[in-house]
Amino acid sequence: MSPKKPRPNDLLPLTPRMLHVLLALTDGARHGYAIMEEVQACSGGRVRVGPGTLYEALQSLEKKELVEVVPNKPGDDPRRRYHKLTPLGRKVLQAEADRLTDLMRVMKAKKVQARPT
Amino acid sequence: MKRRILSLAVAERAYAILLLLYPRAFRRTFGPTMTEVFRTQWEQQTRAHGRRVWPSIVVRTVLDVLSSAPRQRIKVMMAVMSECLNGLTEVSGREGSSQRPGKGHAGIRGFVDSVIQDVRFGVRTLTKRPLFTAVAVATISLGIGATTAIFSVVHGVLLTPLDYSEPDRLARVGHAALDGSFGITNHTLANYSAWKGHTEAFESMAAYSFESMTLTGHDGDARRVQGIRSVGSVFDVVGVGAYLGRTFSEREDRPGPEDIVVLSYGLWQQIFGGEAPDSNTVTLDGKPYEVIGVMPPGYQHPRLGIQFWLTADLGEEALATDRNWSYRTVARLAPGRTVQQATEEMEAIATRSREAYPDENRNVTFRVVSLQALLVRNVRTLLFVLMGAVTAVLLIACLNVANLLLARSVAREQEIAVRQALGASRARLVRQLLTESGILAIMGAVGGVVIGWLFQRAIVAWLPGGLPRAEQIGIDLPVMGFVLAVACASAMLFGGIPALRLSNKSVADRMVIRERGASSGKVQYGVLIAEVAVAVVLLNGAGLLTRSFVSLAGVAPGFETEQRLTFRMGLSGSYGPERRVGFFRELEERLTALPGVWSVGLTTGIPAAVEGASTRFEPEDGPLAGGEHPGAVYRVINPGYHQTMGIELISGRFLSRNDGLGGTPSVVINQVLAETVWPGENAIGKRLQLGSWERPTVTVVGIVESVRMFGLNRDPPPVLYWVHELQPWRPLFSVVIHAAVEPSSLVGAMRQAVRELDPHQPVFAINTVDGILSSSVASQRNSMTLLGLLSGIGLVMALVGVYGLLSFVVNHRQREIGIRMALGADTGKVRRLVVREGMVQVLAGLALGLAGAVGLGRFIRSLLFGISPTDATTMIGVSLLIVATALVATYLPARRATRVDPMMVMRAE
Repeated sequence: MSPKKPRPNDLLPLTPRMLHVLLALTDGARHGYAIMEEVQACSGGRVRVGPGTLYEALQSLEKKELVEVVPNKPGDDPRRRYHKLTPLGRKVLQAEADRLTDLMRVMKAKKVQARPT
Repeated sequence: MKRRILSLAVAERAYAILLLLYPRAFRRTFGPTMTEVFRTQWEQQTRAHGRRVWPSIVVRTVLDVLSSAPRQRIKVMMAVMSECLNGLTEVSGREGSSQRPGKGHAGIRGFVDSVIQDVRFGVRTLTKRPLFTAVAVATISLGIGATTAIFSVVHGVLLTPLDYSEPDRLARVGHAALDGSFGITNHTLANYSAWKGHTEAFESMAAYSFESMTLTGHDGDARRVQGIRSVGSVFDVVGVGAYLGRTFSEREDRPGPEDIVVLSYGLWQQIFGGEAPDSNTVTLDGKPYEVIGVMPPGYQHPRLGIQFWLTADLGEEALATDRNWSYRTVARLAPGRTVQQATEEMEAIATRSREAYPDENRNVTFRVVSLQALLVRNVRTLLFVLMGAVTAVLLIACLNVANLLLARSVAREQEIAVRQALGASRARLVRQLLTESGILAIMGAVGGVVIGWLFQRAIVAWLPGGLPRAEQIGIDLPVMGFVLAVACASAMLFGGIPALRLSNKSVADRMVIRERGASSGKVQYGVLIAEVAVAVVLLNGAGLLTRSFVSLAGVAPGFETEQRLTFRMGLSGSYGPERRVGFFRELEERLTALPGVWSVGLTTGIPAAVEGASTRFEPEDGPLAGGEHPGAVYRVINPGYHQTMGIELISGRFLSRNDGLGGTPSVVINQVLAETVWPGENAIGKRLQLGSWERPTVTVVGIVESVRMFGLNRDPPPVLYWVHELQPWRPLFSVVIHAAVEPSSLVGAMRQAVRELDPHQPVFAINTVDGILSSSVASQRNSMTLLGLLSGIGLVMALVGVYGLLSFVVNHRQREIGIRMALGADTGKVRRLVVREGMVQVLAGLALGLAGAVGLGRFIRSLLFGISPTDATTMIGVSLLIVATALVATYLPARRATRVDPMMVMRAE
């Protein structure tokens, strides 16, 4: 409803925390604790979010219309809130992936190699 | 299993408390889900890793909250501020487009217009509730007034530089004990000549001693004037020139008799009525002095009441051999030198002189102290404590007004909701509320200046001996600036709390407020707890000073104080030494002959009033163990002195008239001296060699009770007494009359007796011994009274806060209470409910306050006498006082609550 639709590139780059939260939602709607677990698993434990920082991130993602709340289905725990990516969110994630790939290409060209893990 | 569930419940409750750190809006949206996530996390992790994982969860959760909550708070504040700014540009935009394109101009105009509108509305709202306004303004005035008064004193005494040229380079040089047992003291001229010219740290140096002389021949009456005898020119050191004529010049800096005098502006006005003094002379102690100059009107020696300056009547030889320990040295540091460097240099000199005169200077070093620090050292702590106390009172006042405003803003919810619904932005409302509190603060500041001025005069009058530089105290520009700053700060504090609360709410919230009852009391309760805590800290301080004063007043001085009149009298130069003993003997006889007089005593110094001189001594039967070289205070007295003062004889006999004539002179010593020098032995008949004056050997003939010579808070020093006949040249005595009648009724007869003896000799410092003792503890008494007063104000304000808040809560919950009572709740139960509601906050405040008092105790330690800063009795007393008064303050609203007729309340809804 906003007069001007933001273009995905305007919202880049994402902070690591936001990126991971978005990533955690790529497979579908999740509730808070599931997002926390997914973030921790995907980042190999390097990015940790607690309830406070998680909902802070979700709040700002919601405001930017990158995620939205899924209405609870009957039978769901009413205290849980499920979030999912919006189409814009998906586009932003894609744009971030492009940006990072570009970045990787440049780094490779400059011979900045990742250390073998 | 049961344990785990239990601890989860506790953890959840703790988490709910942590969530309070978030702004309300955030908490409302995400609080329940966050709690749910927290619970799931807790359950999952304990299931996976066992119960001992909980500390790590706790730490992570706390860190999580602490990292995100402040950011959210800041976000909300930024939003409000940007709305404020937007509001501003909106207004300016509107005005600008309708009037003229000059945007900046119109922006300011628009802003000014909206401020004027706010002020007008604020004044209207405030005048509509005169009682509320009066209470708020009075509270702020009291807070600001007290702060202003104390700040003006602190500013004048501690912060204003001395009125000399480059005062930070001025220092006092003097003797001090190597072991720190005494600070900076007087010295001899021999010391001075050892220092002067042998140091590089000082640019100039002058020694001086205080002189008290009789001024005669001007308006007929002889009077006593105080002055300074200066070796070298003190004026050159402090860098102040004469107002008229000149000060001592280089020529007079050289030792030699000079009959010249410089007068203070005040004395010059009194004697010559402001005429040019060129060829005038004044007569001091019967000797004419040429007046060579007058000092400027504002010029003051640091010790007040100095009216004239003389040069010292001394030759080269006197300078080297003088043993009179009555000189002080003031010096100006060379450019770029520090007190520290000067001290090191002086210590090197001290080491040399200890090597040269090991006997005399065993425990002596030389010390340099900044003049300003020296002047205020005794009142520094007191003033800082008082400053802390008034800040606390101001804080309570602000919190109180904040609570008043909060209560009112709840009552105004609907007004605000309507204005918001009509399109007022939050920022605009916040600005309106801040304008209102700004108006209150300005009115409070005006009242505060008036109260501050009155209060300040009272303080200056109350802290007599204890307050140096009192003439510097006044409400001047810096003090006014301080008042302004304080007023702004308090407006921010008491206006900001309600305004911020406003920013947390939406219209919908506001509309339903009446349905939800008094849920908005949390902030107010927090404010109340803080208020009580501050009041407790204050009361504890006042309690400590009171208890300390009581124990001080309970100290036995060692002499009788009742029914004793005292005055001082000094003979001027026309009385040669041979006539002085005779004069005082005659005076004693005449005074004893007066009706109503029992006995008359003479002494060179009344205890607790006159410091007097001291001497070193050595027992004839060998030096003391440890090679100590003790000093003792000595007093020249008449034989009747001890009985007149009621100082008891412990063994031996009192002195008699013949004790000074022929053979070995006799002395009486006090118990402290006897126990120091001959512990466990009989001191009667022992002999002492005195270290100063003609180094005579004296025999101890009696031991008397020890007297608190330097005031009740200092231990009695060792004292030696001998009779006037032994030092007949002494011209100045304190006379004590032990009377059978009210002592002050004797003043007329006493004056008459003196006049008959010699009309040219003035009497001065007339007082009762009771009065002297009482003024010796005046500074302690007054600081106790002052802090007591401040903490009383603080307590009353805090109690009014408790009362006010509970009344408000009761009003707000009338409906609930009505329903409870209609359903059969008995009055006692309802009252207990209300009282408990208040007492919980009071007790929390009490606990917090006591903790604070323990923490702050060390600041007040140096003001206490005979008790510790964490005195349990005081704390218990304060707690009882708070609980008892708070019970009253909570019971009154509680009683009113139950007086409500349930039917009335229900119908009103």
